[in-house]
Amino acid sequence: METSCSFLSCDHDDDERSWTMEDYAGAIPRWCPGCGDHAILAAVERLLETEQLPPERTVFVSGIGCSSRFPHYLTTYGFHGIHGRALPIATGVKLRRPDLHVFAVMGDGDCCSIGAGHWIHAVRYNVDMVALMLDNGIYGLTKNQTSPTTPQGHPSNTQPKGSHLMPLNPLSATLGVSNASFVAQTADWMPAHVYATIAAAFRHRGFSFVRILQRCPQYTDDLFQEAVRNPNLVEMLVHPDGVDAPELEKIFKNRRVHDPKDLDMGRHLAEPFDRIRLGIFFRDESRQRYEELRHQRIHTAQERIDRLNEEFEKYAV
Amino acid sequence: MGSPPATRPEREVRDSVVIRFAGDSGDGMQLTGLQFTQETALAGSDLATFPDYPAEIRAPAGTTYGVSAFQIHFGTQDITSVGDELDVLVAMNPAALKVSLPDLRMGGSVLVDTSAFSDRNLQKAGYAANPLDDDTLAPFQVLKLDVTRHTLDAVDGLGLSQKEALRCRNMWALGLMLWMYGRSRKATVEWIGKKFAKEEAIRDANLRALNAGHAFGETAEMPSHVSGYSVAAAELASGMYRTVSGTEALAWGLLVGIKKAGLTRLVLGSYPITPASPLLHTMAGFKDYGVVTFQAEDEIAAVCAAIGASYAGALGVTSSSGPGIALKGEAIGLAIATELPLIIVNAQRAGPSTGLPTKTEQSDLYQAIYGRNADAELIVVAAATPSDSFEVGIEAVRLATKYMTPVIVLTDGFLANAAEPWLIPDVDLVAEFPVAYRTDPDGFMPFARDDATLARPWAVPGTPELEHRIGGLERSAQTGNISYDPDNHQAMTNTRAAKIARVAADIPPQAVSLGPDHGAVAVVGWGSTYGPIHQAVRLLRAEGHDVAHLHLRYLWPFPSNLADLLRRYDRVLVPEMNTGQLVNVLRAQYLIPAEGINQVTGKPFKVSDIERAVRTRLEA
Ligand code: SF4
Repeated sequence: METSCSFLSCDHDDDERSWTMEDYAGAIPRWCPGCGDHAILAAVERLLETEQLPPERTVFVSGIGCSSRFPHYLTTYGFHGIHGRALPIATGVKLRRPDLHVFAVMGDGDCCSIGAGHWIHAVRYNVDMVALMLDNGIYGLTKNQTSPTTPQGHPSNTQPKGSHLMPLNPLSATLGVSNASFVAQTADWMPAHVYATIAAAFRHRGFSFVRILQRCPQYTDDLFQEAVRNPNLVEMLVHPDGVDAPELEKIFKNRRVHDPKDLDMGRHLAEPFDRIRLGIFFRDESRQRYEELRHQRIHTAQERIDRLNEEFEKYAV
Repeated sequence: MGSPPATRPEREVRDSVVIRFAGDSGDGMQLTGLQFTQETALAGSDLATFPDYPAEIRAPAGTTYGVSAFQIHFGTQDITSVGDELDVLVAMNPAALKVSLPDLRMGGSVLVDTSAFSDRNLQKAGYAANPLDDDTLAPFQVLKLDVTRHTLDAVDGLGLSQKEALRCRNMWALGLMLWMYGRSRKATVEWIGKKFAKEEAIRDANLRALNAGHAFGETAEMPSHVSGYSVAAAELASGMYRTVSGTEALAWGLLVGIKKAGLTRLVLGSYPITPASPLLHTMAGFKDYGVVTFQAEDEIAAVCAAIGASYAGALGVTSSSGPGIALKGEAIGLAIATELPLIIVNAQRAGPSTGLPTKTEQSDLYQAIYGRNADAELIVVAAATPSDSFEVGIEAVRLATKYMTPVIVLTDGFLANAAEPWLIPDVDLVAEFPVAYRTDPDGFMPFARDDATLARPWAVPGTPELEHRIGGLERSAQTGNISYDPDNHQAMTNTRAAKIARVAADIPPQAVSLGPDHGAVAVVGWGSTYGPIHQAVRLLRAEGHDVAHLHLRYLWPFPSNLADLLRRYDRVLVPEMNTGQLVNVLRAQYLIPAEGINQVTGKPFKVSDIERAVRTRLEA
């Protein structure tokens, strides 16, 4: 790969430009009032500003769904793809330009249903990018159909008497994939935590999977209502290597020390529990990244000519 | 005991010969055929090959459906097809004999391994009686040799197991055939040395078997009526040749294409499927030349990664066969909507569904031209011969980048695997077609268009001040922003179609491959049927029939002169390995009464199939 500078390093050298949050704000979002996506967008803009990511070196790729409108609401490069395919498109961008900052934004239907195969394999490839899965537990854009993460019993247009199945647990599923390197969960109603989590994801070298619990007042208003009102229903995973959001310490009293290096404990904590757990479940920088594995020395022109001649020798008549 | 005849008959001179090596899937027939091909190419013959193998890796031994065959047609003349009838059949077991005997010409030679004709093998092949004992083989020259015994004798003392020893039978047969056609063993000896470098006994056994087979012919242990043959070198243009398969030539073509376009990267996203996988295998070796291969988790990821790479400034390529192309359909639409260059290679196979994965067909033309949701036009081109695949590869890159559009390249199972000698071209003589990424922010709009081509600018991430958003939602004509405006959708749909239509003026006018540019009958083909059609038309013309051969490389859009050209013939006949696809597209486009000649047996047309069909039409 011709460009292989590490993340953060090459952006700031000799660059006199600077950007404010407003500079990153694109088209006016068309999400419903009260939709959790607004807060997530604000947190992302804050990250872009804090890290001073040059807009031309930043790419947002999305699938299809409410959350996948994301790229249009930013001034970076953006690719609004097709349903379920944000991850392979983002992977393609990285195959050509490993130096760019790539974010993939998906919904729960996008990531855990139609694109589930890509999700599993993207975790395994461990290409350096941030994957944000905005989970509102429903298909919103297509108007209220049960998704893989809809809680059992929750009614929708497709399953009016309530969802038949146990919901899929995206955290456990991701943590079960070999070569997972970063798995975290946050919630849209805690902007400081969202910011801190995606900042940690951005700094992680590898595939960072962040599930963001996202309120959809339109179709799943009841999903997180209690947790929003009652901070006791939330448990923060804290650690010096974890998510750092000191302003939340006073409100969220349930705190549990969890070392993100501990995969077994991370898996245990990801299992269903009567509180919503937020924070980094697992992080391991030493996991092999796809671009490292595939990076091999490119031979010089002379070496190539020698090899080519050798090849031709075999077939010459 | 009679002494060997003092004077063996002179080698009989032949213009061309068709040989088929047939045996069990485990008998190594493909390797045998490839080695024979290598030696024949080195001897300077023109040639065409046809590997034909079962879908199963190791079908039950001894059965007819487990037969693996390799056919080679070589000679002094321009060889354009793999040959209708066999001159020589090497049958390693009864099943191979049963499957291939119908293709052997009257008076042709058949070599059988007598030891393989056991009761059990005869029964598995479905022979009620041993064909070596009745008159089944009466119309042929039969060479009954105990290849098994000779092989075991040759490798005796090397400490091989019976099974290992028997695996050298193919080399014994190869040695004999190389003798019979006066071919060298040099390349094969080298190849054996390399392949079994770490297993000395196996290496020596293969060498001994090869040499023993050769010596058997040389020392006149052969029945006296069998002589060797001599096939002179072909009169090919001078230069450096190599044998090349369609897959290899296409891979080289794509590579030369990106160099001529001035692109530094080609990203191939692919997923294993027969018969397309060899392209991924071949290009995996091109890392030093700017090729990045990505074996994706599925067909959809493969095409999406190629699209993402194109967006980021590479040439995205994806390869598959019909069923895989179907899975990619939605994403191909995305590339059409976002107007990104993309090359989709379809090595067609017999279908529908899984169909006959290892058998050839050209039945995905409709899929290529029409097979997506909505009005979604792209460019479709097809390769005619292994060496033509090289030029088609270059042309696909030129069109994809110049018009910012997906291009489908159609090959097929036959073309992908078939090999022929290829004069290695001087790539410096290939015209350049430099691609310029947009870098100037002044007046930049992602969907503003070039006046001539209607292509939009290629503005790649990493370029300052050109940040923009693209996607599958309908885009506003200039800005590319999401637009639900009805008039805009009408205009964008028209523009997308107009852009593809303009390609017709940017490709060579349709030429006539053989015969006059007007007259009684035009035989119009596309893809791998080139050889048999060409040969059939040549024979019919020699008989005085007013017949011409046209072969189409550009299938969508058609060359701008095609309609006029076709109307200059009284009749248009379209042979295809499908139930009639090009013929219907021609009828729909030009309202001409084109007639189909169709066959879907999973095998290439024979020259005689086409000759007979055309003759019947002429006489009707
Ligand atoms: S439907 Fe739900 S997820 Fe979609 S924009 Fe409205 S509130 Fe947000």
